[in-house]
Amino acid sequence: MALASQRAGDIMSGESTVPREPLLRLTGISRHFGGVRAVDGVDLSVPDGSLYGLIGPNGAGKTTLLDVVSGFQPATAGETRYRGEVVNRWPAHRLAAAGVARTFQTVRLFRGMTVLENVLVGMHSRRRNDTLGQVLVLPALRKAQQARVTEARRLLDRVGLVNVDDRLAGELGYAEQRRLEIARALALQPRLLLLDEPAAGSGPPAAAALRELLMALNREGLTMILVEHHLKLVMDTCSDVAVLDFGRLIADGAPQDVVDKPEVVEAYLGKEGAAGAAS
Amino acid sequence: MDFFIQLFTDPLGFYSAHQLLISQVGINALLTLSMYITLNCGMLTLANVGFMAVGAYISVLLGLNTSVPFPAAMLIGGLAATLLAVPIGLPVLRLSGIFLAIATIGFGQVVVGVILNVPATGEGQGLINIEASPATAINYIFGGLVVVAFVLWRLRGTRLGQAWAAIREDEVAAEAHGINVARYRLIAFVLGAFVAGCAGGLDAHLNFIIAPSEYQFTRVVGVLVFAVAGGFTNVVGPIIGATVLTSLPEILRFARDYRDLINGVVLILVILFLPRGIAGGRRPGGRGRLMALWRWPRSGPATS
Repeated sequence: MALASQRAGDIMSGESTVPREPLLRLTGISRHFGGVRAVDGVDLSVPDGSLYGLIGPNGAGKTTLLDVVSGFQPATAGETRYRGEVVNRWPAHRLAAAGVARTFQTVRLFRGMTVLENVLVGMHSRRRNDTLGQVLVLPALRKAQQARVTEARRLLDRVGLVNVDDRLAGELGYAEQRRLEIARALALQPRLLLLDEPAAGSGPPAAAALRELLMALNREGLTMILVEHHLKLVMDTCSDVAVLDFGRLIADGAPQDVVDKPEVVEAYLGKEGAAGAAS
Repeated sequence: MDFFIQLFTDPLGFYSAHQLLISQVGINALLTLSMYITLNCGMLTLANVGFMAVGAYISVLLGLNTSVPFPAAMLIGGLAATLLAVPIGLPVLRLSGIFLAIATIGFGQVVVGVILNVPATGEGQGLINIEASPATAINYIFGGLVVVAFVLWRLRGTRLGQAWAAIREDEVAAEAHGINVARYRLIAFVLGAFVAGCAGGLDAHLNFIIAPSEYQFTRVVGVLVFAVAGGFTNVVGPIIGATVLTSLPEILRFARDYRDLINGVVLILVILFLPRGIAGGRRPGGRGRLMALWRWPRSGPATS
């Protein structure tokens, strides 16, 4: 391992034409449930600054792969490297504190807390431990809290949630809840954001706003993995796309190249459909 | 009615007439707060009365056999419960939901079993606590209650308090936002044990006898009922729940024979109409509706 990291260091210091170590690199990642191979030997490199689309038919293993990357499920085999470090055994909270944020396919908000509080919780890992001071009513800490609230409001504003600070998260509409999840994840100040179907339940205007948001975040240097059924959203925004089918990676590369591959068409349309599309 | 008339017209007379009841309200409020700490973090643990017994016996044994003064003996009892909570909590808190509840009930039974079999505890006979002093106990009880309630109230917006609330609302999402769920759950469990252990020491200072029969399962259920009735989404709820339900038998003295029945009815009414407790506040979604319970079950998928 020491040798490998030294080699990576050599590459970094070498010619700039050699690609840098990707932010996230999966090597032979598998996740089996008994006989079911939900994810099966996936190799994936997510370069720093990319917006990486992850697509595939239902049950292809996209969400399971996100769970493995974010530490919620252990990999049965394979290695995950994040910023060059092997992070397979890291618990989810440690990965989150190291900058891997995520949203969930089925929305998981703190429903009984207000919208603002949800975002404040997202700042947990970069908030210094102020518990004792707060109990003793130290006035200096009030300013820090004020700064956090201001920042949380800005994040809410960013995802288009205005004037709902004090509503309970559980009272929001479905598409709004998805946007709140993104704001909460951004509160971590992540390096890598994993989005699991953020556009689900959004109408066309909301989906367009989401696309703008993702592209703006990406321009600011945030690396993202986007699991999405909305093919158009993926095609419009992503710099790279990987396609999963039955847990296996069947294609990856630039969006336009990937969708034209016969294996991908076949996975989506079935064999006959693929034959029809080819002729 | 006499109860309230005296409370408002002659508070001093009320205080001296009902000093024991007021002390018991304080003890029960402390125990309910100790359960609030864990409930507020999304865990149903029923080990509180076990920790209470540990605190009670240790503080009484210290008082009888050494020259340690009472407040120190009580704090040592609380610390003993705290230390015991760590090795208990590490394996047990891997469980959740009903399994966690059952495992912690088991702990309470083990404590009672140990007391019944260790000669130093007086076994089934209990211990006579000649050091007890009900008149001073009430001051310690309410001093302790004020401190505990203040600290818990202040904790709400802190990093710790917010982490607990997040875990209560959604453990997975909390973990995904950098919260070390296992660690924060252990902190809640241990802190709850400390408060329960201190409450045990105070309770023992109030009564001249302590016996294992006081630390049975029914007592934990009683504390849980205080918490549910009062509401456990804020610090006030457990105190209100303990106050109302502890003094209800006194208020309803004329109906003494039916007091368990009335307690039950009060609890059902609270759960139906105030699902988050008397002081629970709002919650997402609608209120529990009484009539909905009697609606005829319809076939086919439920639509709402």
